Amino acid sequence: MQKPTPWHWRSFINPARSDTKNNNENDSRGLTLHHWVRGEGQYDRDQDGTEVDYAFAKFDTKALNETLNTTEIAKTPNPVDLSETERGWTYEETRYLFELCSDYDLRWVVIYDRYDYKSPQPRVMEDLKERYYYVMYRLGQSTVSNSLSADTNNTIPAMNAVGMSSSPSPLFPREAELKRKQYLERLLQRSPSEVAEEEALVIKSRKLEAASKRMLAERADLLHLLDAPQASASVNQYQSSQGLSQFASSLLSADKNKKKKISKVAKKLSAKEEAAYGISYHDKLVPVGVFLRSSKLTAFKPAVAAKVAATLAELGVPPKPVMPTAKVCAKFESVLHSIGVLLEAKKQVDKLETELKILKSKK
Amino acid sequence: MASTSAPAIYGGDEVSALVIDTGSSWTRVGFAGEDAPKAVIPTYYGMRTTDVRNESTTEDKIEDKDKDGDLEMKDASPENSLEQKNTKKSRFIGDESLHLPRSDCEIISPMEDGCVSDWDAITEIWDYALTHQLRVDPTEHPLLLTEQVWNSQENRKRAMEIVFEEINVPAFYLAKSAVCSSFASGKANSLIVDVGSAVASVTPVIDGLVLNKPACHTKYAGDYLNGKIFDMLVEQNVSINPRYLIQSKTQVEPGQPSIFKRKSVLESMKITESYHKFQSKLVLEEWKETMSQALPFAYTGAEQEEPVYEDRLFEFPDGYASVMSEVRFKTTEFLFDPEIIEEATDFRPASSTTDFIRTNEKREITMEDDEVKSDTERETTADKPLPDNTIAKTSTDANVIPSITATEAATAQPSIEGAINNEFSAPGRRPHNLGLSSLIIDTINSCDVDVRSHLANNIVLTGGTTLIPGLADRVNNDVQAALAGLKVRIYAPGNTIERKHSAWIGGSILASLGTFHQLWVSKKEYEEVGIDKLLEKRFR
Repeated sequence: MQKPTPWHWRSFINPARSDTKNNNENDSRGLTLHHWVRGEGQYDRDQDGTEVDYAFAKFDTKALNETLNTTEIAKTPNPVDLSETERGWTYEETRYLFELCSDYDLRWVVIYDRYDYKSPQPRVMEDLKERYYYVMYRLGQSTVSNSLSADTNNTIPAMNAVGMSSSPSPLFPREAELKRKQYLERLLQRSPSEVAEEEALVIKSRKLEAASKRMLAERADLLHLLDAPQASASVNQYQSSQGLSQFASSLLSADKNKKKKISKVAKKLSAKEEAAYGISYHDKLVPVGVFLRSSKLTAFKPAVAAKVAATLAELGVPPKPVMPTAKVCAKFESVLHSIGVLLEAKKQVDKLETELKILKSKK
Repeated sequence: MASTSAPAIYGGDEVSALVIDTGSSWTRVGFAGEDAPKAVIPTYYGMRTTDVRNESTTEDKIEDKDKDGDLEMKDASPENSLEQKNTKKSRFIGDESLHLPRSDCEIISPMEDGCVSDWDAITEIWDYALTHQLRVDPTEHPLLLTEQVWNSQENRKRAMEIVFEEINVPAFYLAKSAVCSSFASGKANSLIVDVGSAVASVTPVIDGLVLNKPACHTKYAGDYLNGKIFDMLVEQNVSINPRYLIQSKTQVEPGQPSIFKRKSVLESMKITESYHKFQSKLVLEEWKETMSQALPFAYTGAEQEEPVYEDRLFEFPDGYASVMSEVRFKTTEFLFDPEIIEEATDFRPASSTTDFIRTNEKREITMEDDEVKSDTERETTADKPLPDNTIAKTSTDANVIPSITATEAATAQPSIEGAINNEFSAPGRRPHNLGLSSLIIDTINSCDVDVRSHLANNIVLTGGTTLIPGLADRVNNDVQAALAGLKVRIYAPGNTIERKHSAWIGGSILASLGTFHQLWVSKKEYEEVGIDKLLEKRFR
């Protein structure tokens, strides 16, 4: 079994505290607090048993580098640079701004909220930002020119040429920022009905987008459908009826695979359109595959067929329709049917007439 | 105690700090790192001034007699007395001692506008809480106090002096209560809507720092509602007999006059008006807590379907019971439109918000009118003889029970303290009324446009008055309607402890964080650096 680890009530000093930091040289220590420590703790202790380091001290960070705070501004070789009177900035106000910046770690909303300097003109947040970035830029400039030889100055004029002439700060687009906020402001001021309308429009446009996408896909499908199969082999194989039926069955199976897609594409045609395109629907698939419509015409018994052919010849109609469209075939079929019926009737009449003659002659 | 169980996640390191959150009606005291205050005591005290020359013995006799009359009164109460010339002043602090009826004992609040105004009293209340409730030696523990955003510089100085010189703590921190509430809800960016008893405040918090300029507060909070409920009850001819008057009561049918027996022991005592008022307030608060409800939308009357008002029975301490329906909602409506009654009575057209300046001028005029109006109303209600549904009224005029007048309502003078500084002073941007929803809307709109979405998305409701059913929905509906471009989300924890004591809980979290310990102001710093500099640099 593990030995229980004892907890100790230990005093500690926090190196992150300003009173600890500043009082290192003299004997006094900063604020000493107490907490419970498991086991021996992880930090060294001085002769009083006080921990001299603290786990949370490392979180004491600053957004602004210490060297870039107010002391740096004061040390700038040419402070006159910083008190340029654009928008009425003075050296004192700049220092005040930089103090706030380091106090509030460049949280501009908070800095602007706490900004309470009697400046000659009212400041907006963009003024503060512009001033800050401008001064930082100038500070960088002066340190560069101080520390490096004259030839490095080439880069600085280049930077100057970019924006210095038009705006005091090449780094912060004050006007653009103000404009952006104005736009945002206007965006937020929409009334509920405007917002609802806009939302409805967005939904509508999304729907349209989706519809156009779908339409494109359908069109692609159709085009694919219309694409003739590439003639890879010689045509000879299709010249025999066997080859043709093979081709037909292969088309049919391809059709079956595509059937779903096609049914999606197909739209309901009116009777007129169906007639125009010659489209007909079959209750069941014809197993033989491709066939000629004329071969499906009613066939008569050989004895009758000769008579029918004779009748057709008599009427000046060819034995098979010249243009076997569905309509023509149907008509032809009805003609054949009528001929059949009439021939039958004639046969009966003839039969009866002969019978009548025989009976009469018997008298 | 076991703070290192998961320090990597929570960053907690407890140094046994104390946290005190002093509100307008309740003071919360406890240890940092705990999830609820150990003690919650009223921020009121009883004050009895007795003339020492006038034989203090008689006073004692009466006290003895009282104690004979009621055993419960023997509860030992810490009495802190100060000698002042010929008069003896005794303060009574704490729940048990405060509600005990005493002759000539005034009930006084040491708070004004959410901030401390009577430092001697508040020191005693804190001392009572620390030594009698928590039973700790404050000189051993760092202390975190909460303060309101609008706390004055003198007040903050005074707090620091008292904490270091009278309470004698080793380390101290003064945290903004809005920041604490924000931490309690686990947010670094939020809009804290704190509706307590005396003050309703709306404060934006960005990265754990309050924004002072857009923050605002009004007096249209719980106490104001109490006043309106009282007015309503007076209108319905209900007289309020607080619990302390009642010896026994008989069950009566709803609407029938009450039958009860007064406590005979009170006849020989001189109960002060403030005590009676304080006790009556408890009845009003009970009414508020059980009956009040908020409508989902403002009911303007025109072209709107009449909302469905649900009936509910309320029994007063004297046995009188009444079924209330519409008034349950109408009284809450004053929170959202504090001027509603004046407008209704005057038949004044609704003030237009088309012109910024005109709206403002009009507002001022109506405010003056309102004050005059409410004054006259007050007189008339005071003159109006109360219906005698109190039967067992003894003829002895020795126990003059002062009837409370509508001065409750007088505590709520229409005033807006927090300067609403408007960067983009668009017309109609100022709140057209001082109701809760328009304060929220106005505060959001006066913040930088880049943070508005964060604020609207993190509206935190806190304070006891926000527990009124339907209030969160109402605020949500109002704010969403006004800020259509933003996504509004209301954070209103269902846990009443979290809602009532959020500032304390946030302070508790703050003071138990390992990273917080570098922020404490030590006694040595107080002595060496000086108050002004510390206040400016350390408590922000």
